[in-house]
Amino acid sequence: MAAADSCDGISTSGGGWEKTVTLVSSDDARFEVREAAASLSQTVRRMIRAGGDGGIPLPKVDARTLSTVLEYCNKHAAVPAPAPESSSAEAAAVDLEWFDKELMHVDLATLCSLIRAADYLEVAGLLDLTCKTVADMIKSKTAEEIRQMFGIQNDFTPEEEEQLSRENAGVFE
Amino acid sequence: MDPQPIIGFSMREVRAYMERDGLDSRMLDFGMGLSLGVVYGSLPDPPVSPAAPLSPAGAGCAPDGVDRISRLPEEVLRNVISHLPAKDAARTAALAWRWRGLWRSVPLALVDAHLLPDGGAGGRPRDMLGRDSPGVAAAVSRVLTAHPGPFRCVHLTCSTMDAHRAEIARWLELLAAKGVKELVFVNRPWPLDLRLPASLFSCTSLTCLHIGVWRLPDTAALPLAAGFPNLRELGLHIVLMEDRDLAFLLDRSPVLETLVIFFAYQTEVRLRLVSRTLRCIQVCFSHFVDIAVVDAPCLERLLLWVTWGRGSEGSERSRVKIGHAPKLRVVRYLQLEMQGLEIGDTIIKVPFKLNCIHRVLGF
Repeated sequence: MAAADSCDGISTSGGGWEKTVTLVSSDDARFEVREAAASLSQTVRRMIRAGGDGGIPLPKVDARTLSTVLEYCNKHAAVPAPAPESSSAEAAAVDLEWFDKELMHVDLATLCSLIRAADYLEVAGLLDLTCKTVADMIKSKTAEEIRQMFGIQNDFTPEEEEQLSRENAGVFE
Repeated sequence: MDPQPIIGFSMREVRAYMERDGLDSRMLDFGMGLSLGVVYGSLPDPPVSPAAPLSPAGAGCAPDGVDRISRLPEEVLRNVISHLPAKDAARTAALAWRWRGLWRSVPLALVDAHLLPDGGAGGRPRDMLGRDSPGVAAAVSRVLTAHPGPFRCVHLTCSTMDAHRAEIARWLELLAAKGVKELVFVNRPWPLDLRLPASLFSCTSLTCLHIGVWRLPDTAALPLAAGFPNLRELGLHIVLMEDRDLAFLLDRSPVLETLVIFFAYQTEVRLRLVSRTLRCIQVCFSHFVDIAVVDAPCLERLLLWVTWGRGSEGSERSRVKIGHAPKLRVVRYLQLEMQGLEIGDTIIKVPFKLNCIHRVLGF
């Protein structure tokens, strides 16, 4: 495979050399990122393979969102695969869990931007994490509480709503 | 206490026998509670939980009134719903038209403990020996009927199955028809030897199955085609079985990779393993006269935690024989002595130390 023109390189702290790629956000901000981290995005991975000049354009993701996505990718790609069931594997898992939880301390608009970006960039782990976060917000709340929280318009007629609530109660109550 | 006499007796009858013989019948609850505690602890965790560790404090509001969540692609909303317990998933249908039918198109995870009045936060009944919760069994029936499937995971651990035989038959029918992938099916104790309905063998979509406090069905009466062609993980917890039924189960699980046996209490049972795919076997607190790994070319780990052979515990140990297992790299056991261990042509007599096993296996 021919090396993509958008690939450069940086030296690592260990004295080695690591391939990097440049990603360009919708508002023209450029991010140089290790290829291993960028490749957590299946979309970017495909574009690296296809090659191209002057960085990989990501017209659907703004700089602020992309920077958070890359924070996630850098962290998750940096974790080496330790032997399963070892204490270092457990410590790494705890560290990642804490990192993920901290990353999700965002407002609703940011969370939705992250979901759209993870979906478009096909970063499966981040898509799962963000969807889990929305799910956690929904848990144990009534329909009305959820509507208020997310700004969802209730577009049912009173009769439809009555019927839905009867159906749900019929299954679970 | 020899475990054999309690099979086929109700809790009340066993208590009466114990009291007649001057034994404290509370020991029965204690012993059973201890065993069930280990069993529940060894079951796989449900994939969904009512706990919400990721819910960001204060983030949950749309100050500008814009509904960004509902505008997400349907596939993403399905992903969100897939992380919800069944009750929360169903509730999303009442949010707005956009959400109306979504939960029915998501493979559901149904955990009956989540339907308990306390929400079953741990995914298990808190009072393991407590009374049956009949409302839970009825709710399980309704959810299994209401959702078109598939069910990616179903955990049923809260019902005294003996009191719901007709419902259980219907559950298994529905689970088979709606393509269940993972099933944890634990009977509340007493009787210990309730026959597991043979219709379980119709659930051919299963990839992971854990059953607890059952007697295996009489496999002689099963059709030849019955089996689990996709099953990778099998756990038997406090399960009574005959040699031939256990052999049938293993024989009809052609892609099985992990076998876990906890508290196989019946005496005179032999575990004879012939499998092209098994990679890990764990046997704990169980009676087996013989444990023979006859031909398991992929087996990597054999873990034996307190197994014993004929008679009551302590009198005789299981005989363990390892034949063809070229990839076996980990043998662990927890007990001071064994009847004897044969690996290929090498016979290790008691007492032996673990490093003997390592040497024979060449690592």
